Amino acid sequence: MLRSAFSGRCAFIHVVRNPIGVVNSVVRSDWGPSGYLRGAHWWTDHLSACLASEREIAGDCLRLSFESLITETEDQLASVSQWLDTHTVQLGISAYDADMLGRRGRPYMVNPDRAVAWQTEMPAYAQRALMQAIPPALTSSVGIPGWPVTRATAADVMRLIGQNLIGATKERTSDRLRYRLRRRARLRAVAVRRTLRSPGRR
Amino acid sequence: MGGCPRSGTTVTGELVGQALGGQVVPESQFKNALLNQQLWRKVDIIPMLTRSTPFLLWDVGFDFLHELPDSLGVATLMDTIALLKTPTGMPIPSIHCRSHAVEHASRWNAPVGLFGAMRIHSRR
Repeated sequence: MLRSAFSGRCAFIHVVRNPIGVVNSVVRSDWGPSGYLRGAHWWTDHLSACLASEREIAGDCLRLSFESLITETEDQLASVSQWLDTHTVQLGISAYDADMLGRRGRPYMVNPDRAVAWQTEMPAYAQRALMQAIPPALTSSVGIPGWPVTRATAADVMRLIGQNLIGATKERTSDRLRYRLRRRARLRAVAVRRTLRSPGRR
Repeated sequence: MGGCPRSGTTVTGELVGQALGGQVVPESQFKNALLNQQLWRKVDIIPMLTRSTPFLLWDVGFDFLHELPDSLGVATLMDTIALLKTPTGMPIPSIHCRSHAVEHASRWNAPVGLFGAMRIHSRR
């Protein structure tokens, strides 16, 4: 679908990140799955879809590891630059004139600690459970190094169930809260409109 | 540029853009809806785009939509938008646009990106 949509004249970069880092990030956001295990399934679904797309655009797609990019930024950017230079010519796209834009070499900031931030930010029980829940075949297929799997204990499972329940409750609560806030805003808008229509009443 | 959400597509865009001197366009999930729902007719595309928040981020207005052909593909649509955002003197494949992602909207005018590449999440 991507190939047909972009007429074959497009270069793609597929960014892949350690799934535990992804889950650690998404459970903290105000959208997406809120439980660790749900996050693992969510990542699995997404990566499978991405890999299916990658097969379709094979040859025009560069897979880039997020961890490598932020820990070995210079080397990775050099390889991306080289790939783009050769690939755009192959695709028949005019060579990218960075000098014309005059922006080459702009300073950039990157925090390499983010590559392994999940190790300190995520509870150990969740890390153990995710390492078990995420299929190693999938991680190895995208070049993410494997990890030693420690069997999740009964206590880990109980904590995960608790965390999932809290997550589900949080989702429901935020839905209810959103509904109440919208309702209040609607009522306030109606009141304001009425006041504006008849300013002499108050 | 694509990948699973929260995989670092934004930071990658910024790094690649800043280091290589390109631009990255804002998020464009609206094209996922176009592709998934197989919307090729202008009458179907316009209502969908007018409701799309990511499309509003592009800040290109809606007038040009009425001048498009009755039947068009995603590539034509994206090319048209790209041309609208290409300042005079820039190479055609470049898209000069503002931020990359909604959460980075405060960083308008960040010179990030990549020759007309688009952020393609696997959101379905």
